[in-house]
Amino acid sequence: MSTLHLINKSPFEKDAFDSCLRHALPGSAVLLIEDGIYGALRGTAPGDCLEQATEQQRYVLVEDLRARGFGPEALVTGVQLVDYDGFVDLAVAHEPVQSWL
Amino acid sequence: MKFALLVNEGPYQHQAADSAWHFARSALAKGHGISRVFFYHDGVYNGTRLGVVPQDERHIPERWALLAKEHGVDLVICVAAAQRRGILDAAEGRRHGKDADNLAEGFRIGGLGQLIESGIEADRLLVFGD
Amino acid sequence: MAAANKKRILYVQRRAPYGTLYAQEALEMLSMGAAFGQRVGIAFLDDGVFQLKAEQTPGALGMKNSGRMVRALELHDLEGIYVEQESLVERNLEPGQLVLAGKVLPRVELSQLMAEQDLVLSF
Repeated sequence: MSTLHLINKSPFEKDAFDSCLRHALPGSAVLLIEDGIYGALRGTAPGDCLEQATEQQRYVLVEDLRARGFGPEALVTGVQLVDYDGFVDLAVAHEPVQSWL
Repeated sequence: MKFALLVNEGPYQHQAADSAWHFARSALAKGHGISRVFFYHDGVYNGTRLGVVPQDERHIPERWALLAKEHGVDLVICVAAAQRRGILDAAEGRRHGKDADNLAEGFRIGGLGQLIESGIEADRLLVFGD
Repeated sequence: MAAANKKRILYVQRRAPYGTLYAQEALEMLSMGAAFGQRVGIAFLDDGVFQLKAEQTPGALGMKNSGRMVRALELHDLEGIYVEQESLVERNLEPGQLVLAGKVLPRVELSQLMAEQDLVLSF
């Protein structure tokens, strides 16, 4: 099974996003939650980086995205939206789950 | 599937306790189990019963306690982290000569072994923190 | 417990000591809990490698010496103490400046090691 990486920090503030993308193996999944969702915004350097990470499945937690005033149209391509049910499904499908705190 | 959760931050200041709770609720609604939530670092503050929360705000410790009551989730506050931060149950309070205790109903004080145990027994362990 | 039934658990240390308590409490967890009969390792990467710096003297701050706690890890029955090479280089640290030798791994190998775990504990 492959890893589910959780990022909950803004890439503009902390290194969790950068470090995670440097370590995530091909075939693993990356889920952006909490302030991590800022890493998927179109027209930003981290967003470009995420868009190019095509060897990983990339997800954004929709509840955290909406709470911060953004919708799917604000995201780079290649990123899928999941809700908390989808978060649970991802945690079932992947092992280990690694939080980039 | 059986999940265990580790919560490393206190309520309100960080979103971690909220995220963990929403995850737990969704997992339970989907028919999965949450065997234990272990609170470490400032996460032990989730277990205070002295918080006075404005009425229009979520009550995080009570929300956890309800999850424990309705679904049998074991809420464990790490003893080492809790003592340092002044979270005590009645027995700990007495043992250390304190004039009060403040552990909320539904929570219990436990050791680090219980985190590792849940990590071993659960199918997945998820960490929520800062 | 047979080796095959043991879980592979990795403590991931990505934070510097002293500014926050995360590093110390994570080390406490390892030292108190030891390995619980599992296959436990610890990895230092990103700012976590600063925990390994020799000659930490936090006495004036009245704080506990993290370097000493790290060195005590060698007494425990750990599967491995891993240090990411790139994290050292980025911070101009050399293995000779560290409180313990550890196994210095390039990022690509550490990434593989993390992916092979049953449990990854981050603090």
